Amino acid sequence: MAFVLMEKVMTLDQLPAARTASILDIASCPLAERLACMGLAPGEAVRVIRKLPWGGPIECEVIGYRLALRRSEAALVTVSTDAAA
Amino acid sequence: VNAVRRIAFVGNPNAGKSALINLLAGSALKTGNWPGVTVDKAEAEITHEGMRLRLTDLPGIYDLQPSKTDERIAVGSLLSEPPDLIVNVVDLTNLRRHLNLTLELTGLGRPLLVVLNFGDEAARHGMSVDTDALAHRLGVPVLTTTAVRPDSRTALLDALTRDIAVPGGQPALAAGERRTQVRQIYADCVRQATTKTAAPRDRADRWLLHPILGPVALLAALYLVFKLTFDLSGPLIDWSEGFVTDYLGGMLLSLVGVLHPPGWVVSLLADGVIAGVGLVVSFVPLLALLYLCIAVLEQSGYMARAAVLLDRLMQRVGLNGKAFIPMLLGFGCNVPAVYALRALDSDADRRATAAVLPFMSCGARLPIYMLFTTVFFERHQAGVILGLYLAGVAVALGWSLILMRRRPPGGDSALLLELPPYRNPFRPFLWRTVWWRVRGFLSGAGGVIALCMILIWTLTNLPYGAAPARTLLGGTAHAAAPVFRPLGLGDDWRPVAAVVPGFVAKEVVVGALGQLYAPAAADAAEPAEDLLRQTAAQSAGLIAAIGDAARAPFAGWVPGVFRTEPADDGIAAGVRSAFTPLTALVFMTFNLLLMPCVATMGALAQEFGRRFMLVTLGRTLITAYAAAAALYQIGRLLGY
Repeated sequence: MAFVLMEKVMTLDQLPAARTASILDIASCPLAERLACMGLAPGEAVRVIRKLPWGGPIECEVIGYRLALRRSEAALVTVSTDAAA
Repeated sequence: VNAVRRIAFVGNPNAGKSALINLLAGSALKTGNWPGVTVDKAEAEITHEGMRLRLTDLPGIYDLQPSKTDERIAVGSLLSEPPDLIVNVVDLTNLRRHLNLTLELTGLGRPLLVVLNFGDEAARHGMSVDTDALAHRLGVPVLTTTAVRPDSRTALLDALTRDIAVPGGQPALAAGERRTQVRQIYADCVRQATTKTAAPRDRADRWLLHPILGPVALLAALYLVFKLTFDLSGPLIDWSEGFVTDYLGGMLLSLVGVLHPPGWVVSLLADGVIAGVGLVVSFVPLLALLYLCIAVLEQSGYMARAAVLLDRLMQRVGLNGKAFIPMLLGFGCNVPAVYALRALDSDADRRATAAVLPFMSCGARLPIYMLFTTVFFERHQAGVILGLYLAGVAVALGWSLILMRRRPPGGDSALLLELPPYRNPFRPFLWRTVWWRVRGFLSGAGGVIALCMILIWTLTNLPYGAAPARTLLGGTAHAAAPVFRPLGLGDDWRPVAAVVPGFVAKEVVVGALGQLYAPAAADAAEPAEDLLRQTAAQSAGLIAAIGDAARAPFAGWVPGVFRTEPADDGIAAGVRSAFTPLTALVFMTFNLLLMPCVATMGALAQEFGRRFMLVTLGRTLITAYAAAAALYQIGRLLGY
């Protein structure tokens, strides 16, 4: 390959605003099924719209709509960014 | 004659189900719930082209694995009484998430009709759907509507009366496979124009969710809600109570007067029944306006933003951002607020909020403040009343903090909240939401209040003709007086007697004071005056009240209901002689924090069990007593 993909794996709460990433995995927990049902499922793209100050909720765009969730909930979602995205 | 066709409306929250069913059924819609957010099922029966249709509006669900109360109601109803037809309402602008439920519904083995709502909005966003392809892929008929357009009504009704086959050939899928299939269907059936211009929502949210301007905007919105509610309702409160007690009551008394009833019957009618009904009616303007403001904020989509803005702050004291709406509703009446808690995601959050909800000063406590502040704090009326409201909120948050510390850490509290695009509230649905909530108050708390007024009358008048101090209430108050001495209220039996009804319903306290200090007021009704002139006077009064209400918002910065005319002379004089400014403040604080009224206790017991209700009751009793005693003792030390 002529160019290197800068892939980075992190959790959704660490993803900076305005960045898009694809979801790799959801930590197994009672909330997992609910998160998946709301669109936070492996393979989907997610974009952070804004982060509310003082550790407030994160607004993100997933499967074509806007979802607000707490940072502790976002920490359950593993995402990967790459330079090509 | 055809049998009734039972049709269940199912869909994700915010799909516009309630607005759609409201469009179909209009006033036929019967509901025992507190919608805006639908938290219980609502039903309507209509006839279209000779076919009887029974429409059921179910609370919003994301899938068929319910995780909270309102979802359990929806899924339970769907599985235990399978309807003849399921109408799946889908927000076209948010098709991918909604299709997940649609696919799950195709596996239920019932006829299914998919209704794509918000078609116009999707088109504006450059989104086009091949409905034929979608219908083919899903194996069910698909219809596009816009709930706010009347012409979609007939098309939808026609579809509801048609015979629809059970979708076949859809194997039950695991959640993961279902998502894959949704992705494929979406890719095949939807064309999205690639022009990505900033949506109006982004322009609005840049300010409304701004780190600094967002909270400022929220405070401004709250100020506006209370300003409008109090300013506009103030003049109407005065008028509506007078209309019932003087006009309707006067008519009733003169009609009854023909029969020459004994004195106690007239007294029971005037001071018990009519005064009770008048009291209930007098809350309606305030509640209607507050609920109208809240419904506009809810249906426009702003409330979701408010919940997001407040979540961090409320989490610090053990509450959820979503609890903001029920707590705001609590300023009207605590009863619908308790039911509104069903929309919260976790049981832990619901209980945490319910435990402190009674400290939100409901509309019923306002007349107590108004009476005492007009007599004792005429110059600082607005300040004192505002202080009481804030004190209630502070006590609620304080208790929540204490309760949070005692809860095991972790818990299942969650905030997963869709932020819908901003939408114009659908006017007919807006009015209906307000009416439902007001009616909820009338049938829930209202009946209790009217009954309590009769009970209080009995207590203050039996044995009939006895001196007030020797009546049942007087005797009880004398016996209970020592308990209230640390509060500075035990010296005279009457303030104690006025507290007693507060245990049943706050709204009765002022009425009880009236009966205690001005028992002669019943004679004031003048049945002799002719009906025509009275009607004219009432109409003029209403016009004047509306005029006052229209001017009030521009009169100043301070909400206007706080500036009331001097209360009824009899009560005012009685209160002036029995209370000091300090004991008046103590009395108001005590009533602010004192146990929820009977109707609220009933709602708490129904939603959370009797034990929870009793614990909450005990907490409020202790809080009210301790706060009132502390206030009195500190006040005395300071020399008041």
